[in-house]
Amino acid sequence: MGSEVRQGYPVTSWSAINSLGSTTEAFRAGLRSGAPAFSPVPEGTPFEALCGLVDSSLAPLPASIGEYDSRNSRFIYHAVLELEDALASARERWGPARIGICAGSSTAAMDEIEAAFFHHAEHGALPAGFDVLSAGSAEGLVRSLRALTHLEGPATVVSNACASSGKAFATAKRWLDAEIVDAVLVGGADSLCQMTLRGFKSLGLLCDGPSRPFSAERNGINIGEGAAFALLERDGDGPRLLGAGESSDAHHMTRPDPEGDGARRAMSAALSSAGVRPADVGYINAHGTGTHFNDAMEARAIRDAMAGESDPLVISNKGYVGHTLGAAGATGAVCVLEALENHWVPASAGAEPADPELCLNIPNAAVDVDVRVAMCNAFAFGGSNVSLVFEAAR
Amino acid sequence: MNPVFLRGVGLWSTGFADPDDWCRGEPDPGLKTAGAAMLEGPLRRRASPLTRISVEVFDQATRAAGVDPSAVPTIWATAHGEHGTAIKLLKMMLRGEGKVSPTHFHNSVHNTPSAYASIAVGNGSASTTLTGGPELVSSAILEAFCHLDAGTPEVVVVLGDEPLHAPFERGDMQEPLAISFVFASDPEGASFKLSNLRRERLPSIKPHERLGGLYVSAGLPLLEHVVSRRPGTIPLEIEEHRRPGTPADEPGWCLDLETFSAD
Repeated sequence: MGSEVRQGYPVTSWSAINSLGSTTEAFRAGLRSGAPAFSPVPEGTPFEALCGLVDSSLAPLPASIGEYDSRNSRFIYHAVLELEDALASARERWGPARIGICAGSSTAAMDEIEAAFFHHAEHGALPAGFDVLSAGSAEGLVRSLRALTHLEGPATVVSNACASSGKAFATAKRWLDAEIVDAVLVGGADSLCQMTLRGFKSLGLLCDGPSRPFSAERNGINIGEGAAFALLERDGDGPRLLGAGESSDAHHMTRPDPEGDGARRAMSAALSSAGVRPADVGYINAHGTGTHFNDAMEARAIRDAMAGESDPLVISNKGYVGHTLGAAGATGAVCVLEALENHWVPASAGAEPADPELCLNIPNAAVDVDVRVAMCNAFAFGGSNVSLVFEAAR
Repeated sequence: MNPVFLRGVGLWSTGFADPDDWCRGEPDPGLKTAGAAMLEGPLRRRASPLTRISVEVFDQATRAAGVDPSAVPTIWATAHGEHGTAIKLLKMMLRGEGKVSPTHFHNSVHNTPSAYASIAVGNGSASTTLTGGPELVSSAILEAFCHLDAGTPEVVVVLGDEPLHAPFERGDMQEPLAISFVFASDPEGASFKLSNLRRERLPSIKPHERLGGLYVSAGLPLLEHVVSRRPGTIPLEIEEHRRPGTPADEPGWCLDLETFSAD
């Protein structure tokens, strides 16, 4: 393992769009404000609930790649537009063939499939021009990202449900470690769809009001949507991705291992991969869905992984934007990057009163603090776990 | 990137119970369902056809390789994932109050086959499910090679897809297909060496008549070369999978396969 690997890889630029806003600046301001951004579920949903919706007025994809246009690809388009200058510099520096694309998505453009299916049920035919491979699948995601970025390196989509875009960072790091590429556009996107809303409702996991991760009064999830992307490079300026750890619970499709062993193993593997000790970790952006069992499991896993060496600030950004599913890991990573870059950690929205049984250091207001090492967790259906470790720019 | 060694393969498609059956080319018309003996009890009852065929080839390949299925990292690749389960959910949404089944919902994620396998055998290792387009197979193999390059001794790749269901069906996807490979960083117990994973002008491969639309069918050339012990340059993409307008000289991923003797 060379010195570059020990030093990790700088994240030279990043972006996020979600219900807090359609720009990274709006996301940052929303986190600083401490106020969540939820709205009623879309018309046609057969129950009442809140969700984290992206501004519906986002411009469509350019006409030249209009065949890939979907709500999901619009999120990607606008997130990637913010990185345009950084991508141009990277193409110039490394060459487009040495820059990969690794995106995470769970539902991809399932809302497009739903619309086409319901159109067929009503009219006996799919909508004119509908192509499931362009607008209604992860293939469209890859194709639209290639078309938008002009990157020619390897391109793939990780689809491990809600751990998808967190795991995309782990795959991107492997590509850099193996010197397959010199830079990777990494992140994820997911758009809200009826299948997801109704599915989580059927599991009894949606909450009545705003989601309140880590609160003693938490009672479930708000589903969200959005996209978050980052540019990882072999060298450059910015906070660094130091390590990644992955594991499987091997326990149940939806219930986490109550002992938190899988999550703890992912965190410990990430710390080991990063070459840092628990005592170095100042902030954890938790998976923090807001369900009773998930938060209790994660709290136990965090305590076990920290091994009494550290009592880091722990927040969940899902109290602001809801659970953005396949985009959740990347959205959490952007929260961490913002904290490392701007020297403050947001409040864990909705956590007050914090659940004392969790024994975590949960801030109920933004904290100005010079965190050097921070961690980001993402867990998923099927017991898929990933943990990422980042370090502030030197 | 260091050379990689191949220890075992698996395959299941309608009529074909394993890789040897496939290469003989004589389907058993009575074979409609994968055995998936690894799945028991509720897991077996709830498993979708895609999960069954994927777990079946995972079992075949790990047995062939002598690899512990409860301890090996895994990579799963599927273009359309649990499409059949998603269609069932969509049909439920059209009925009555539009409620969906919680079991079908949690079984609709792309990593369902991986999850069922990990739960069945107690595998707590890292498992990644990839999706995408024509680069699906090459992406999975690249991911496997990167794991090995990072020091993982063995890794299993499982490729699996079923035909798209109505109303999204296509003529070039008529049967399900799952293929599995066990790759290792150490030559012990291996008969094949893989090297020079690269992008170059692809050798032309005729897509399979009934399965050619499945992107995972791009794994068939490697499997067929291994079963017949034929070395060569193996494409990991199929030209016909590319969009119209893609330049003919656009490079694609391929690798070199050598027969290998540990002696």
